[in-house]
This record gives sequence, structure tokens and C-alpha cells, in this order.
Amino acid sequence: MGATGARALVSGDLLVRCVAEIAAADQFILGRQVAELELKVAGLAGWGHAIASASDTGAMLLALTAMGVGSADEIVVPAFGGMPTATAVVLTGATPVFADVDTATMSLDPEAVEAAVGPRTTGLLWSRPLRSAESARVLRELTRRRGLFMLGDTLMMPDAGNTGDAAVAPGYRRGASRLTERAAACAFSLGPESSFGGCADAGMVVTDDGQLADACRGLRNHGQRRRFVHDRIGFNCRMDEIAAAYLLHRIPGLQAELATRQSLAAHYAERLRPLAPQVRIPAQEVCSSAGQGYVILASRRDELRDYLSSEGIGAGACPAVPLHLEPAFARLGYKPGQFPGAEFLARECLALPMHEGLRLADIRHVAGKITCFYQGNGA
Amino acid sequence: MVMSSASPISVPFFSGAASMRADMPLLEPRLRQIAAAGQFVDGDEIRQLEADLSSYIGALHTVVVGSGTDALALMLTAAGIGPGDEVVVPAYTFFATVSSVLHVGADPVMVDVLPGSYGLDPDRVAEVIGPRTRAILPVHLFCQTCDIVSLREIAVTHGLLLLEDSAEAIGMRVDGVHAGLLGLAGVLSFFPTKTLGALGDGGAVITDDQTVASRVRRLRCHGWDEGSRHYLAGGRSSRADEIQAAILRSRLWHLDDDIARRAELACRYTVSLADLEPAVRTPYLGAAKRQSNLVWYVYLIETSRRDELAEFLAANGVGTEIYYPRPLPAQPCLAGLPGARHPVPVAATASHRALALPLYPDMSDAQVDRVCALVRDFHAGERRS
Repeated sequence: MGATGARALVSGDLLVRCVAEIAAADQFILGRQVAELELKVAGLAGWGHAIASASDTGAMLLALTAMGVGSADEIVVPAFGGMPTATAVVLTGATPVFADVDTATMSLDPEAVEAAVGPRTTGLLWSRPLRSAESARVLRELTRRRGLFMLGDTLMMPDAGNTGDAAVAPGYRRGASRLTERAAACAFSLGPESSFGGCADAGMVVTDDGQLADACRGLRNHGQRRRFVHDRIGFNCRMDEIAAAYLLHRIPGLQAELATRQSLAAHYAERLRPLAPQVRIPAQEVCSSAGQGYVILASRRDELRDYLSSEGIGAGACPAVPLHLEPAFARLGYKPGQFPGAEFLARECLALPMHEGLRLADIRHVAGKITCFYQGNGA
Repeated sequence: MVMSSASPISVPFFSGAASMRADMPLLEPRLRQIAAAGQFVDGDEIRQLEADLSSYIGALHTVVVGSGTDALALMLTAAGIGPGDEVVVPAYTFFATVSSVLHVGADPVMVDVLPGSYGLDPDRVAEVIGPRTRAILPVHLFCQTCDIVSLREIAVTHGLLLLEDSAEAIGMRVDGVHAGLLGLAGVLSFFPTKTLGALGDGGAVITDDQTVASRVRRLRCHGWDEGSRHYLAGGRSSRADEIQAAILRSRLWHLDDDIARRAELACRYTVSLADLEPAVRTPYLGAAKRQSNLVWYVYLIETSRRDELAEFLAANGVGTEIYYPRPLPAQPCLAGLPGARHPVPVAATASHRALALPLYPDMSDAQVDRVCALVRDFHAGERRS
């Protein structure tokens, strides 16, 4: 069944054609293909501007830097989340301040955000839909009162077939601007492990703010206003034409792929729900599942993972350590027990295989093995 | 003097399309293999490219990353350079040399270069060394190494690290040692127009030092340490992909032929333009304790009416680049830095006079002749006026 998120829909012909076309055009980086991809993604996601970058970390780095984030700032980051976001915050020189998450939705807990915000806090990163309209209201009030900006660190292309509730999923839709006075942008991955499934690390920023978009465009290319004149200390954070051409070829099939994944997710849910309370299914955006796998919360998670592995089923912790306990942030002085929600999720979450190549029989097989495990036949 | 009467052969500043067509038969099966395996990052092509490059340049370690710029920042971090440290860099180079120092939190000190090699002037370097100086970061530009032997002596005398921006220097050697391996570590860039170019961004850190290499391997992927299964501090996101690695591998096997072709074309330029001295100054070897071999990445002339010549060539279908229009201390985002206060007269002069003419293996002799004829026409007009 292969590793979590393994891909079955890659055509050698397509790849050869992309490379040959780009080579013949003598245009390599930030060219016609990238411009076309940006237009298409902005349209699909329903944002005014899209800015392509070299990676998801790069996209977030551009957005943060364009917002003026630097070494004087603190940025609130969910303690249960991906390293790419936290890396971006650190690369700006700012200090990440972690906040606990709600275990049912894996998203920021507004009360925890309130506790994390200090005098140097200028913004917060968002990664998953909130639990309720009430949570959204609390957070909106907080960001307005404290003048904080919000950046969406979305796991997938915002609004591409997303089934989440827009009212409580700020950061995912154009409606993000309703959440905060300075709702700014979303950054997401278009890399091989993302739901979009590109052929190289790649990322995108989307925003409705034209000035922010211009700033991101300058920053990704060494801060150049014109060739070799550098207004800002920019980065080399550019998408190449092959990556863009490949993604463009994938767009037409994207909706069908998402539908397939949603149907697979429904089958997982149907078969695994009876295993509660040992197995619980957190709220998740199905189209992100290709990157993350299909996430369940499982008691005796490590034993289950090893058992599945011995049965030839690739499943992984996602992530196995909450960010505040990674050695990378040891200097910030966080302690185990400080964010029980994030620590619980890191202990229990398991990503099951989820990709378009899966068949219903595969889902049945995986769910069957998990059932075996908890009914004492597998452990 | 708008259009020349000579035959209208256009000469883009760079084209690699013909070479790529020739490489496709070798490349195609590899691309199909990548697609079939579904492994686009962190796979066999990258590992094989790292091994191939190590053997080509004679390094113990090559770590391929997302770009030459990232390679510089990763090298600096891996070498322990950070906040509070000063790094001496040339005032005449691409922006990334200095931005990478800033991105790791250190302070660049920009000093003047030597005419000819456009490399760091060892005498100027010696003048700026202070208590916070931790490293010298010389750059090898255009077609030859800088005076790396003298710079290494200074580094040894003062207990400084020698780190090389050898992004342009693949194939350049000093006493048989490849550029980038003369100090603790160096970098390569695979930007598409480079001597070894991909079809997108790419770069590498090269070193004989095991600690630096393993740190860069960790740092290029968020600091992920496979042994402890944790993220360690200082990471970035800088993975090259399998497709670009496969492209680079398909080009590496004819790199020596490409370098030889570049040398032929450069020689053709020099012979043809020689009698235009002093109006046009063709490249010459900089003063150095030991000369490097020549690898013609860029053919750079100096001329007094540079901007007019560039416009005239453009109007006649010839692309050029200005490497570089400003010394770094004059860049808007750098001018206010303490390290931008040293006088850089050589860099300032070059920034008004330097012009890179087209040079790449796919160029024909006729294209070089066309460029030379236009340069000659331009200066004939000058003599008449």
C-alpha cells in the first residue's frame, strides 16, 4: 500500500513533455508558466493575487516579511503544527510563541491565544478551522483589540473544494477578512507532499492586498525593484517553470481527485467510528488528507503503527512531537505539560494512507487490521 | 547610429535549448523513472548527483540544496557564523554574497576588489579585520579565482574561517584544488545560465569537513535529525528536486566539453576585440600569488560608454548583462550598514564600465563574430564623432 500519501497519478509522458517545452522556451524561473499558474490559483482560490514561491516555508517567509515582521516581533503559532511554519517565523528573526490547540479540531484555542499574546505580539498564524462560530468571534475580538494580523498557514489550497464551514474557517476563504481588521494572506504548499501534488517543493501566497502582493514579489527575487537594484534584503525564493507547468497540467483533474479523496475519507470514517473510544476521528479537511494522510486519534498509537507496519501498511505520526518540545525551540524554555492539547494530539495522532490510487478494498483492509488490533487479534 | 548594416543574426544573452535537445535522450528515461517512483524530492537522483559532483570536483562532501543563495546561508550557519560576527565580503559581487551573511544574523563588511580578477583585495581585507571578524568570504567571479592564496594566509594569521562563494567557479582550480575547497567550505550555483546550469534554481555546499556537511544535510530540511528524530535549531527549507538533479547529471558528463567550448568562444572574442584597446578592455588575469586555470562563465569587457553600447547591442538583437551596475555598499538596502562605509573605488569604477557579452556553449562562432562586429561598429561611430 506504500507510504502515507504516496501518489499514483504521475505520468512520465507529462513530465518529459514539461521538461522539453521549458528547455525549448529558454525560460526557466518566474516565467510564463509561473505567471499563468498564479492567475489560475488566484481564480480557483478566490483571492485577488497569488505569488508563487520555492516552498511552503518560503511562502510564509515572504508573507511574514512583507508584513514587516522582524526580530522585535512575537508571532503566535499553534503548538500542534508543521515545522515549515515555525521555520519561517524563526527565519524572519521573530520569536514564535506557541499556543495550545483544541483536540477536537486540532486548531488554535482562542483562550490559549489570549494567554500567549504579549506586548511584542504582532500577529498570529492560523492553520485549521476553528471549532465554532463562538471561537471565531472570540478570536476576531482579540485580534481587533490587540491590532494583530493573521496569516493563514493552510495545509492545502484555500477553498479548492474545501468542505469546511466558511464561517468558522477563516484563513481558508476570502471571508478571512471578516476575522480581523488586518487579515492579510494565506500561505500553502504545492509541493509533492501537498494535496495539489507538485513535482518539486513549491508554495504559494494568496492575498487580496495588492501592496502586500507586490512586496512578496520583490522579496522572493532578492528584493530587486529592477535588475540588480536591491531595495530590500530579499530572498531567493522562486518557483521554476517546470514546477509551474506540471502544476498547471494537474489543475483540470484536481476537483475529481478531491472528490475521490472525500469519498475515501467517508469510507474510513464509516468503518472506524465503531472503534471509539480507542479510535477517534478529529475534524479535518479532507482535501488536505493527501498530504497528511487520513488522521485518526488512536490510543496505544505507537503499537498500532508498528502493527500496521508489520502488515505492510505505511502509517505515520503527524507530527509525533509538538513544536514547543522540539529541541529547535529549547532556548524558548517550554516544558512538557504546558500545552496538554498539543501533547495529547502528538501522542495519539496517526495518519493512515490516503491518495487517489487507493481502492475501497484497501480502505476495508486497513480498517480491518485496525479493528483486529483493538479486538486483541493483532497486538 | 541606431541599426547596424551587418547581417541580422540575433544573439540572446543566454540559450541552452540546443544542448538540452541533445541531452533529452539520456534524460528521458530518468524522468520516466522519477515519475514512476513518484519520488520527487530526497531521492536517488540527488544522492547520485552529490556523488558525481564530489568526484568531479574532488570534494569529500557535496550537499545539494535549493539554490546557490541558500547554499551560502546554510554554509555560514553550519560554520557557526551568526549574530555578533563580522564577515568580510567583496563590494563587487552578486547580492546573495552579502544577503546570506545578513540572513544568518551576522554583519557583512564590504571591502574593495582588485582590478582584473574583481576578487577581494587582500590588502583591503587586512585593514578591516577587528575583534568581531570571524570569517572571510571571497568570491570567484567570471572566469578566474580571486587571490585565494593571499587571503588564506590572512585567514590563518588572524585565526579566521575562510569560506568561499564559489557559486560561479565550477571547474576553477588553484594548484589542482577546486575552488570552494581551499578553506573550510564553498558553494556551487546551478542557476540556468551557470557553467553547470539546471532548468531552475539549485545549489550545493562543497566541503572536505564532515561536521559542516552533516550540519548542512540537517539544516536543509528544517533541522531534521534522523538519529534523534527531532528538529534541531537553525534549519531552513531548501531541498532540490529529483528532476533538476537528473538534468544536472545529464549535463555533468559533458561539462568539460562545455568548458572547452566556452574557452574557444572567449578566445575568439579576445582576438577579435584586441585592437579596440583602450576603448574596450578585454578580460585579463588578475594579480595573484598563484593563477587559477580559466573557466569562462562570463566574458566581461570594460568600456567607457557602457550603457550606450549595451543599448546599441540590444537594438541590434544582442543581449548583454551588467555585472554589476552598483557596488554593494551603494545598494539601497545596504547603504546604511556599518559594513558599507569603506571606500571601494575599484568596484565603483567597474560598476560604470563592466559589460558581460553573450557566452554559452550553444553559441556559434558566427554569433561571436556578429557581436564583435557590432562592438566595432559602435566604436567606429565614436571615432567618427
